[in-house]
Amino acid sequence: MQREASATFTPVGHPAVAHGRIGVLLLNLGTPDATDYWSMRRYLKEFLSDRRVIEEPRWKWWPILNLIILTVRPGPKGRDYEQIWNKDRNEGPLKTITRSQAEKLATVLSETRRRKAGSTR
Amino acid sequence: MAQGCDRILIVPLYPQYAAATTATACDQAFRALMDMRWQPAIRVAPPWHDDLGYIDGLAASMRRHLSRLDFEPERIVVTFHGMPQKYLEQGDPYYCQCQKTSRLLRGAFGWSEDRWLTTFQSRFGNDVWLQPYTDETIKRLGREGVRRIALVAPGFSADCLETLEELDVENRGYFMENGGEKFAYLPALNDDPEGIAVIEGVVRRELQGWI
Repeated sequence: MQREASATFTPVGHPAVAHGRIGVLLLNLGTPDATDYWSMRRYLKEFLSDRRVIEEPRWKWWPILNLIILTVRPGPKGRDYEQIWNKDRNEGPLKTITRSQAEKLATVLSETRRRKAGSTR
Repeated sequence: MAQGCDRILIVPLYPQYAAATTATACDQAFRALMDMRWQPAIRVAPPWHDDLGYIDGLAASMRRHLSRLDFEPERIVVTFHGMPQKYLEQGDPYYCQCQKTSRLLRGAFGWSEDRWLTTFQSRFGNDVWLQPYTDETIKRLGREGVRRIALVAPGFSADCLETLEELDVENRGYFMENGGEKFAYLPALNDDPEGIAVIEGVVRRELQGWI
C-alpha cells in the first residue's frame, strides 16, 4: 500500500479522486421530448421564456406567451414535429444527429490518442 | 466532472455567434458550475463562421449533394435563422458573421452574386427581423420565372424542424405554388464526414496547450 500511494503522489489513506481528464462538451439547443400537446407546451415555454431569445420586457411578454402562444402553438407545432420525428428512437432528429456527432467525434479523438500513446513507447 | 474531468472545452454548435444561441448554451453550462465546489477549468470555443475548414467542408458537402440532383439550380439560396433587426442594432455580431460565411462560401464555389442569395428565415411576431426573408425571397424567385433552386442552411450544425420541415416542406411548397419546378434542400453537415471534420478541427485547435 505504502509504495502504491507514493507512486501516485498522494498520502497514505487518501481517498480516490477522479481527476486529470479533459472533457469536450458539445452544446446544442431545443428539441421537445415528444410531439403531444403538453410536451410541446413545456418545450415552447422553456425556450420562449429565455431572456436571451425574447428580450421583450417581462410584463409585456408574459401575457402574450401564456395567454396566446402557449394556448395556440403547441398543437400545430406538434404536428410539424410529427412529420420529421425519429420514430425508431422516439426523439427529435436534432437529438439523434447531435448524439451521433458526439460519438463520432469521441471515436476520432480517441483514435489519435491511441496512435500518440503507441508512438511514444 | 463525475468522470474525472478537471478541464472542459465547451463547444456551442453554432458556427455564427448569437446571444440567443451561443450565449444561452453557455449560460446553461455556467449555471451548472455555480453549484460546484471544485470547478473545472473552462474554455469556450469561439465561433467558426470564417474558418477555412468550415467553408471547405460546407462546399464539399454541397457539391456532393448537388451532384446527386437531376438538375442544376439557377440560384443558390443560403438561409440562416433570423432574429429581430434590433438585436443587430444592439450589437449582436450574428448578421455580419452570416454574411461573411455566405460570401466565403460563394467564393469557394466561384458563383456570381446574382445567382447567390443570402436570406433569413423562421420569423415570428410583428417585429422587423433580419432581411431579406427566406419565404418572401423564395416566392419572389418563383414569380420572377426562376424554375430550379437549391437551399442550404450553413448555420445549422444539425438538421431540425427549421430545416427539415420549414425549408424542405413549407418553403418547397411556396416555390412550387409560385411557378417553381425543381427544389432541393441540401442537408446540414450533420454527422457526415465533412461535419465531423469541421468539429474535430475546432476542438483540436481549441485544445492546444491542454493536449
